[in-house]
Amino acid sequence: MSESSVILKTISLRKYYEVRSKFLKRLKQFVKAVDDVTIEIRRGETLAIVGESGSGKTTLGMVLGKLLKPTDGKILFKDLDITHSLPNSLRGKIRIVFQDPYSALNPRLRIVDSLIEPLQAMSVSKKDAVEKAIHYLQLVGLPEPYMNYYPHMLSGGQRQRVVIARALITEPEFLILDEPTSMLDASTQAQILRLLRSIKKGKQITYLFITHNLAVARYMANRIAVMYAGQIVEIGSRNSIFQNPLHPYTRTLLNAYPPPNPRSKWNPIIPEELTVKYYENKCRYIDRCPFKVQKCENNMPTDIEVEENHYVKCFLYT
Amino acid sequence: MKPLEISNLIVKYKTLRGWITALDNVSLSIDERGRILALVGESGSGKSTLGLAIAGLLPSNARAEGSIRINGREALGEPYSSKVAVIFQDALASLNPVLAIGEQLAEIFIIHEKLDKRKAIEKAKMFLLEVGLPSEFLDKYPHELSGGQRQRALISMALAMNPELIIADEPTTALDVTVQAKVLLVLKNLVKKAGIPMIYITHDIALAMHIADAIAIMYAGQVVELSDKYDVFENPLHPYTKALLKSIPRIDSDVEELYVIEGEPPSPDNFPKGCRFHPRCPLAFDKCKSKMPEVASLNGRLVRCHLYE
Repeated sequence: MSESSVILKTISLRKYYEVRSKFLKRLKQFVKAVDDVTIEIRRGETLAIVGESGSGKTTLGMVLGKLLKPTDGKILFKDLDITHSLPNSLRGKIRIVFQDPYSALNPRLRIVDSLIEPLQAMSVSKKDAVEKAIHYLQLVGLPEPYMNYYPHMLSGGQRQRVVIARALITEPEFLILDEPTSMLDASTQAQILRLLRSIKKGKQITYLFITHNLAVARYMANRIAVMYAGQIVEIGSRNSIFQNPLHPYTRTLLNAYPPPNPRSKWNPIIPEELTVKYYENKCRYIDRCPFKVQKCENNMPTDIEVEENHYVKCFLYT
Repeated sequence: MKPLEISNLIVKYKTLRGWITALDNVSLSIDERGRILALVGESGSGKSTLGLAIAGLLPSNARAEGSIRINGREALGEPYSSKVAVIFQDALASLNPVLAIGEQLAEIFIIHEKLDKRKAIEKAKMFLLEVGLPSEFLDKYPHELSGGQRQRALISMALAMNPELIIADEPTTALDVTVQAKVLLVLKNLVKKAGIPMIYITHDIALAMHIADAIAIMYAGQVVELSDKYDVFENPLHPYTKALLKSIPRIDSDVEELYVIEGEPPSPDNFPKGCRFHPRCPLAFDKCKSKMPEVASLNGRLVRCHLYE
């Protein structure tokens, strides 16, 4: 793969949170929300990050969206090092859409004012900004009169459309979508997912789609990365993840979803509910893994390429 | 005698803007013990209100008419009774934070079965084991449990009352998917084993297909379709059910393009005239705009749509 087809790349990216240790204990403890993540995101693709609560998927999105400073490692955006600061020429090129459309909009601003705010911060004239706002509002399926509404007058789905329009208005090349539909009803979710797919058509825009819902990932993504305890434990194309899941955790996740057909068998593998432990010298999934061997106790697995472009961190494949 | 029979239930809430109708002429039943009926619908469809009405837990600004019979006994207008057990989504809010799990569970046996404390604790131990919580959980407090463990503790309490009916209102929505699977299977197996009928409220139709025997699809305060789950999946009747099934992303197959139901679900203070689904229905014709369809019975299936009259 040539370098130019990679839009964003991380090298051993880490984000640790210090947790207060017990009284008088000197030992520092960390939540390793993102730990040694090296990933290449290709221009124009949709990469889904899937995982359960606490896997670090949202933290990864926040670090890539420059809302959190990484503890260690590098982020390269179009071959430029943006780990510490984003050069002016790249402002507005990376944007985030959050899960909760109710808290993402300022309740005291009209929709148009929310929309043009990022442009004004980039010193675009107000007239041009408003014109763009109309254009993007229409793009997300809201007619012009919505410009003068306040957020409380809109439904959840309409608010999420506004949030998407606000993210698109700076013409980003890389859009981070953090569970954009998980608070929406089924019919509204379908509208937003289809909208997001149609926006991509004819545009050179890359999506990082963070979700806990593998069915949504299957609909949206070209590639899927599975996170567990701050690490990407498996990454591959949508087909390879669904047809040939390798990591025991990926298989557990896939099994846990009921298929909609009531005649399909649903036999979920039920792992123990355990606190995630950030082991350094053994596999982090070891406490829940039914296939663990001696080797998993003594070493941390590294990426193994099992098929072309399908990587897994698991000793079963060595 | 049916375990649950609801006929022509209407529930209205008094608000600052006047009365709004949350449930409009809902009729449904569970015909046998041990059967699970899922109520599936989007926010505002009235599914939670229906659960509260059956349990006798409607808030004070609500007015209900019609009839809810539990084993032949009229329950509408009666205060909450221990004959109906409710499992809510937020387990932490349902458990007493200052009592150990074992004590809370034992309390049920002390009050309802007049057991002495030692025997009650013994029985609590047994019930916790049934939901996969070993005896060390007797002395744990709710905050020491994970989300799934709390939900399982609630399930054991619901069963401990030996209720005539269980109502589960989105009990797994806040849980991670692997934990959700475990809680669901525990709940389904125990309810079936005890032969207790259950109403399972959810927005997730795929989940409903695996936990329930029959499914009631709710839209804008009405039951628009009620059938055996296989019929609902293989041969949905109501246009809303058809559209809903085509609009969910599938875990088991690649979907070329999701079907989109245009527009938004109507709000209860402004339901459309005629059929409430007609503004979003691809098959709507003139009659749908002016006349509300009655519930029609079709080979034992219920559907509220002019296409089937």
